[in-house]
Amino acid sequence: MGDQIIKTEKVTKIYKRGRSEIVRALDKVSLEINAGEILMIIGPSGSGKTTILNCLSGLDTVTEGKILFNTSRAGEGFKIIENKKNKEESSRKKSSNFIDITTWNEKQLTAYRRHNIGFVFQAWELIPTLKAVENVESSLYTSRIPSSEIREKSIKLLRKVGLIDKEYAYPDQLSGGEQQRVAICRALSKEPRIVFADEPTGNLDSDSGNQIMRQMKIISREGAAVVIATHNMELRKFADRIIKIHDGQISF
Amino acid sequence: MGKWRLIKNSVRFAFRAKRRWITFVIIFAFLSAFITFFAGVFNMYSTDELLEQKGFYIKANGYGSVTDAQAQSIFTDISSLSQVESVALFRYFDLGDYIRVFGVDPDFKWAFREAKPSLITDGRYIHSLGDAVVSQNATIKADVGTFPGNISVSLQKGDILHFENPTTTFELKVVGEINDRIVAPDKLRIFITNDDFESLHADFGASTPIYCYSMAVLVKGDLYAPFNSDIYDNMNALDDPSEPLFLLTENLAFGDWLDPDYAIPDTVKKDRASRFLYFIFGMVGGILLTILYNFLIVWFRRREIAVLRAMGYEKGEIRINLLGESLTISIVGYFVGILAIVIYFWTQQMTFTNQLLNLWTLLISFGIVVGLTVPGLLLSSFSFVRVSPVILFKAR
Ligand SMILES: Nc1ncnc2c1ncn2[C@@H]1O[C@H](COP(=O)(O)OP(=O)(O)OP(=O)(O)O)[C@@H](O)[C@H]1O
Ligand SMILES: [Mg+2]
Repeated sequence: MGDQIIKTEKVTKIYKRGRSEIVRALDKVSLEINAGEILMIIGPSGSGKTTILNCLSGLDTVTEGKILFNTSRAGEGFKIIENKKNKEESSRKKSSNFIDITTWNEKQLTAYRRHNIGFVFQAWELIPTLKAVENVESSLYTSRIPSSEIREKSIKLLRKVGLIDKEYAYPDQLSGGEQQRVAICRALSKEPRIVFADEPTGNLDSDSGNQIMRQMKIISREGAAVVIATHNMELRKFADRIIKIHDGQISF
Repeated sequence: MGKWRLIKNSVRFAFRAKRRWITFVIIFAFLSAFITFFAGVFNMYSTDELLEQKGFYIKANGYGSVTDAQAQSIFTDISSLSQVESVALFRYFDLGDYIRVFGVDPDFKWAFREAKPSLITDGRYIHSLGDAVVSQNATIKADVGTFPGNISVSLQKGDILHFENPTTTFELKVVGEINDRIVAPDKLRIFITNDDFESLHADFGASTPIYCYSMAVLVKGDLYAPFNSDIYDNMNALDDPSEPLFLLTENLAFGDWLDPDYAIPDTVKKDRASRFLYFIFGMVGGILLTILYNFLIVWFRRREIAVLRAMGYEKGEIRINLLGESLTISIVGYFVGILAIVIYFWTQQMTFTNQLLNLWTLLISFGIVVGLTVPGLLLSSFSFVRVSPVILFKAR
């Protein structure tokens, strides 16, 4: 399908704990992520949800398997920085737009995240010394977009998620739900291809949780894929597609 | 451009972490004040304390006891001693009954013990031609009729001294007042550069003789080399009544001099050694402090760093962020420290003509403070790399 942004082939992640103990956090996981969908990864605690997100976003390395990124769907400004390893690979697979990010080095992965990936975390992780609007802007400070344009864009986003008159509040002056909405705007401001959200409603009551999920829905309608990891079965109703995970193995 | 925006923001946002910021600014202010104090103390070696550090000061026995010619010849003889780095003469002549003019070489102004720049009470010292400094509360007196000195006008900074005779005129501007230690009652004492001194004497005082007031002898040796004992050795070599320095001053052919007054080599050596030791402690403490500070900054901001890395900030971009905060703190801390010194002096009603806050002291201590932060900055710009964004997925 041309709509695939990422597909994985038998991704295995093994953690070593102590001297001898081995944890198979992901076991031959193959999945795909399509543009414009809300993909929900549901599983109990310790099942490997966070590990998947870490691997897909290039924050962590995989032990085995491939994570293929569709470069024809890459975000604006993204350029593949080539290194020896994936140069061979890309010449081998000229026909395909998919490149294996597991061969990338840190610099390449940084560029990958910068132009393609947005994050929403359980604990929001807003920068406490930045006002709401500055938090949203922070993911664009490194871009070449003029500051005034960034400001305009960020305020527009905040309005869209219902944060009117709170643009200049500091995170600690906002409720949890409001902070999470700021975090969503921050993830969106750079127009990512995929938003990864790990328990985005985990610290919220169900009302504000539902509100957050509705925002997520709106985002996905605009073309970005939203991947949500959660153990909360109640959120199922917001998903377009669900992947269950248990002990590192997935089932549909 | 993105980079410039990052620099700007890193400085701007650094001010926002108020408690952390204020705490560290205060700590850096203390450090800066301490360093500045020591830079000032060391600066005094070559200024206010020059004679106490490496000098012999020899005064003429009284008015007119050493003529200019005698002074010039003893000058030559002493200059040729192997331990001697330089000799400075301070001479004077009388202009009429009420004015005594002193000539100073601006290069040796600190060696003129009775009229050195730190004794200035208002204005500044003489720097160049046309400058004059007058003794504090100076008055110009004149005779009217048969009553000597019965007209007087007080002199202040900014006044012009205008000399005029049928063939020429000469002007001096009073740039400062000095609380000089020269005992010459009823004389207005004017201090000018040696060049002005010569011209003024040639044009207006040719009929009166030039005498020598005092002579400063500086020995060879580097004031800023704590492990070098040249000064000590040279002082010791001259500090002996059987040595040429003493013999020359006792030879009446060179005029009538008092016994030399000189720095006590042992005391000076000990004093210098202990000051340098304190200073080194200060530096080591400063380096440890900045390392600790930068370590803490990375620790305090680790979740923020993790967020930025997850967002796709490059390492250099995160580094800018951290450096912005560190540098802002050390620079602001420095100025707060200086301000604290100024306020302290002000409350103690001490004057600022002293050497603690002169330009060199400030430049040097600023350089040291900024230099001290380098190891800390290096540390932080390497250690943040160990912060992995993965921590963000773990609940707090
Ligand atoms: N750095 C690590 N070292 C060793 N084991 C790890 C590490 N990170 C995760 N694990 C293990 O991998 C497994 C999957 O962890 P993961 O964090 O992905 O679970 P999760 O599904 O996100 O759980 P939760 O819902 O509690 O967040 C767990 O058994 C965990 O103990
Ligand atoms: Mg998790």
